[in-house]
Amino acid sequence: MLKRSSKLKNKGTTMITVVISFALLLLFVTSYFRVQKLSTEMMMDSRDMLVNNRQLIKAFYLGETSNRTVADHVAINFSGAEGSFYIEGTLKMAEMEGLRGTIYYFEEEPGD
Amino acid sequence: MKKKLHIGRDNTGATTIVVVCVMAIIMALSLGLFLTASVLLSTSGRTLASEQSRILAVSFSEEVERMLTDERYSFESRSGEEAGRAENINGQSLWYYVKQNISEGTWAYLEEGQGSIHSRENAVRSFQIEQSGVVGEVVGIDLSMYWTRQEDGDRPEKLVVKTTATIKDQSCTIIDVYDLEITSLADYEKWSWKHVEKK
Repeated sequence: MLKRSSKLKNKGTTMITVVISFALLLLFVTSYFRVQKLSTEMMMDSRDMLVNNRQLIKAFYLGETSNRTVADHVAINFSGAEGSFYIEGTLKMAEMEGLRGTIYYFEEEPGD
Repeated sequence: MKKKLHIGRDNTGATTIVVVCVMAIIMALSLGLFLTASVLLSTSGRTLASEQSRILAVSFSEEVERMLTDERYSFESRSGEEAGRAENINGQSLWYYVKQNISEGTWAYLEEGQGSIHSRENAVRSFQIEQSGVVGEVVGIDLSMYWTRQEDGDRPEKLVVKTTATIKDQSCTIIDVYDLEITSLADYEKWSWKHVEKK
């Protein structure tokens, strides 16, 4: 009598629920691993970027970058509500082979 | 009917609830991880821009200093100063702008609590680099200046120049303070700016 009652209670509904649940779980676990992969890649990029930046700044201060003049002795104009004026300057750019990024700076040539 | 009701009560979807809970935890973990990675990436991107803007601001503030303290503006007579002004084909240099506006009385000195004329809004002048002078990732260079008077008169004492360089979304401001030395020579007042502080 008890056995019969138990059979009636589980008419297959539980099996369908389990199958759907497992399908959903699989979907979410797959998504999780994809997000994890993407996040890991982003973290690696971030670390590479930090290393690149550190090397570029270090190379700039040590004078190891290849520097070239962008504008030599130009009048840089400034304007505002109360008039305008110019400041003379030599704009240069520093880059390093194999590293990303450009540093712009002003510098007078020695002897100017 | 009684049996059907009984079956319904036994299968209340407990497994689905458990799975949904597990999924919610997984989702939260994924989002947390993704958020951390995004923050790290944007922080790394900002470090270079921050250093670039600092280098640009410091080097440009040195150009401003050179422009104000250059020997070529060390005139001994009014005619020498006028001749120097006439030689400028690019317009008015910073040295001439400062001297002309202060000596003609068109630029009020800064003194808090001395009425609206000498307030910060009126005394601090701001200038932006013209867009033709902007290259690469440089967004702009801004200058803001004000001067203060000597305690015993309206003669200028200090000139404060704030140089702000912006690269991408990162800015750096350098403040330079200059002292004015006035030498009276016959009918001419010789103005010499001396750089005293950088911060």
